[in-house]
Order: sequence, then structure tokens, then C-alpha cells
Amino acid sequence: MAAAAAEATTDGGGKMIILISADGKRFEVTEAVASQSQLISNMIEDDCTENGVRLPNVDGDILTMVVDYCNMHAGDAAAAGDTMKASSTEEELKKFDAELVQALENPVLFKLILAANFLNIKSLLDMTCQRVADMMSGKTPEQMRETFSIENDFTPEEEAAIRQENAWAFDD
Amino acid sequence: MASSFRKRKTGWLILHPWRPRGRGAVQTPSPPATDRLSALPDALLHTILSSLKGRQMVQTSVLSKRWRHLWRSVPCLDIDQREFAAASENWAISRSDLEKFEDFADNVLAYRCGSPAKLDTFRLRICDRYHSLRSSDTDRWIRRGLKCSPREFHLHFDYRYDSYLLEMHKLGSNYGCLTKLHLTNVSLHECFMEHITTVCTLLEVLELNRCSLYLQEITHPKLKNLVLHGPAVYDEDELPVRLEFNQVEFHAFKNLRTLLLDRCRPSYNNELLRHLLQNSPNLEKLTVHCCKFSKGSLEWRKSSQHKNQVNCRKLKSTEIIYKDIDDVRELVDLLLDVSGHLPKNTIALTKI
Repeated sequence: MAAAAAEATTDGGGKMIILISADGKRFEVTEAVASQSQLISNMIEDDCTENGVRLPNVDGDILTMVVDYCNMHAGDAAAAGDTMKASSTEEELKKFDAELVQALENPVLFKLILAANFLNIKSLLDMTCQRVADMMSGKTPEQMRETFSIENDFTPEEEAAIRQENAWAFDD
Repeated sequence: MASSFRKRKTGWLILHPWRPRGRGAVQTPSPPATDRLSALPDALLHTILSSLKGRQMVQTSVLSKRWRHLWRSVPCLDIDQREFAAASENWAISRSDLEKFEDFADNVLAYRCGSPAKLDTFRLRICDRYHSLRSSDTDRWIRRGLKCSPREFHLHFDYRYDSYLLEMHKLGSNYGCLTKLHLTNVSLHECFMEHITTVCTLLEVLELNRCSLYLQEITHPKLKNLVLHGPAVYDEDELPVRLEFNQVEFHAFKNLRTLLLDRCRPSYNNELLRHLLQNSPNLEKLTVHCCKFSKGSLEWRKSSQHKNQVNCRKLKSTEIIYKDIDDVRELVDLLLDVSGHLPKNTIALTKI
């Protein structure tokens, strides 16, 4: 149980992990919070988090959101030390997620997707990908291009050929 | 295949991140937004496209070269007739919409099944109120979709389709990989369960929503999660669906962890519940939603022999959602009667 000297310990006894963003911001979180990232969970298992976990492709502002999300979703494990402050209720979580995801716009949304993917936090990745799908849903290809600034690099002839090839999926 | 992939990759690298320096930047004072969506790796775009309905998914092929072939390897295919039905109250579908849908389903399945990429989830939803589609069409789509060996299959009819009977045993033998099967408003052939048991040996989740079937036996080596949503209509004369449990021969549900009984009718429930409580040693959560247990329907709770056979030591939570307390009084009495055999159980009553 001897914790490494560099690592702080919470009152409840949970080990603390330091996350360091690309721009050098430091976040101190409990092991239970950090373990929601499969990447970090594996690192904890391999015992290589002693000097903090550097995340060279996650900016501080995005990591702030990720840490908020993980704190909120830490569940029972995080409450082990402090049962009275137990995990958030399901309803609170739903509200938190809905507000988070609604507020997300390009480009933060995509930065968060990449961070969730890199850190391997499945629930956050699913939620953010679903948000993109919702933004696409019901739109014509033209509207999708506009929403996401997708540049049409087909010549008109090429585009017509694809529409012809997949005519069964387009309106006449 | 390989060369077109490479082409797409370079196209993306050159085009997207640095394009704003081009003429677009001169025309507008603020730099034009970067296309961060197309810059995502294929795997993430696949995840996003998995949430789109099939027709829209195919339409993304004209967005740009990056998107040209992406849809062909998306792990989820969702064929939904509602994408081809003009939004009208009664879902009356015109002949031309119907033909378009048939054409779409045939084509998308042919292209998708020709792709080497694994299909994980296949969804088929039919909203054909007036039964204009032929059963043979539906069968063909199911057969083709299952040929891709998905792990998850959802078949959803918006309307009861009495003329359509799902006969899994006639649809080839490619559903051995299924781990999740969700059926809504489907009439099932009488040997459905037997077939599922012998062919879908990996099945873990079975959800039957308003399905009609005559259950002779439920026994399955792997099943962990069984959901039975009963009929939506209560009135017996109009009852469109019936789950008949009175002759069910029960075996142990060794893997069953969660069970939802939704709107099940009391006369069919009495033996069901006894068998479940006696033969589900790993059941953890039981939810009883809007079921009616008439007085005396759980008479066995008075027999000490039956009571002593209750074996649900892991049951942690029973949630009873009801409209009228008289419908569930008998059930609550039963749970209290056998509480000695349910040491960890908590009972939550919710009136709606």
C-alpha cells in the first residue's frame, strides 16, 4: 500500500493521479475518476503514473471538460471514501450530460471527440459522436457541407456520376 | 480497394487542414471554419455514421472524396422505411415511395454485403400500415442482412403484421453469430424458441416487444437478459398479442441477471413467476411494469413447499411499476411471503 512519494492521497485513502495537458496545465484527480479512461486505467495497472500522466495531444481547456465529465461519472468507486457524498444520481447525470452535449459546437466538439478517443473513454466518445450524428440527421448533403464546412472537391460531373450510381438513395 | 484508400487519404491531408489559406480566406474577414469532421479518422466517422439511417448514410457519399466510400464499411446498417414515407398521419404510403424503398433495401444490402468490412448491427424497420409489402420481400432483406453475420439484429414492425410470420428456420443458417435479438410486433413461428436455442447458441439478449408466440419452453445456454413486453392493448377482445405461458416447461435460467415483465396478463403469469423465482439463481434485478395480478393468481405463495423452493438469493432489486394497487397487491404479498428466500432484495413501488 506504500504510495509513491510524488502522489498525494485523499482523505478516503484513494490514490491521486496528476494529468498534464499539452499546454502544461495540471489536474489532480482520484484513481477512480481517472480510470474511466481505459488508457489511464491501463497505465495505472502497469504502475507508470508516478510522475504524472502527460497528454501531449489534449489541450488544457478540453482536459478541463474531460475531467469534469469523469468527476461527474466516477460512480460508486469514487465514493468509496465518502459514502455520504456518494455518486451523483442518475437524473443529475442525465441533466449534466444533456447540458454538456447541447453546449458543444464546432470546434470544441471535435476536439472533445479526439480527446475521448485518445483517452479511450467510451461513454464520452459515444455521446459526442451521437451529437455529430444528430447534427447531420435530417440534413441534405448540401446542408451537411454547410454545417461542417465540408469542401466539395468533386467536379460537377463526378458528383452527378455518384448520384447516378447511388440513385436508389437519392430523390429524383 | 487499396489504391482508392490511399487516394482518399492524400486528398484529405492536402485539402482540409490548410485549405483556409486559399481564396476563401481572402473573401471573408474571419478565416473560414476548418472541416474538422472530415479530418476525423475512419473509425470515428464509422461510429458517427452508425447512428444515421441507411438512406442518409448512403447520401454522405457525395459530400466529398473523403466520404465517397466510407458508408460501405460502416458497422451498422439501419434500413428504415420511415425514410421513404411522406410524413402523413396515417402513414399511407404511395406506390412510388414503396417502390423506392424496395429498391433502396435491395441495393443497399447488395452493396453492403459485398463489402469485406464486418457488419455488426442490422436494423430493419417497416412502417407499412396497409401491408403493401410482400412477405417475400421482407424475408429476402432479413436473409441478406443476416448473411453478413451481424451480432445484433433488430426487426421492428410499426404495425401488427398478421399476415407476416417470422420463420427463422427458413431464413438460412447465418444467424449463429447473433448475441442480441430484438423483435417488435412480430408473429413468431411456433418453433422459434427451439430454433433460437439450437442455432443462436451465443445469444445473450432476447427482447420481444408485443410479439405473438406460443412459448412451449424457454431454455437457453447463454441467455442473460430476457425482456418480454406484452401487448399494448388490455382489452381481451382486442388483444392483438398473447404471451402464453400456461404450458411452459421451465428449465433453470442460470445466466439470467435482469428480467423485465411488461404488461403481462395475470392468468398467464402465475406459474411463470413461480418458475422464475425458483430457477433463476443469478437474477439480480426484476422489473414488473403494469402487469395485473388478480386476487388469488399467485395462490402458490401459501404453499410452504413452493415457497421453500424459491431460489433467488442474488436478487437485489424488484421494481414494481403499477397503475392500480389492486393489480399488484397479490405480488407484493408474495414477495413479502418469500422474503426469507430473497435476503438482499429491496422492493420499490412506483405508481404511474
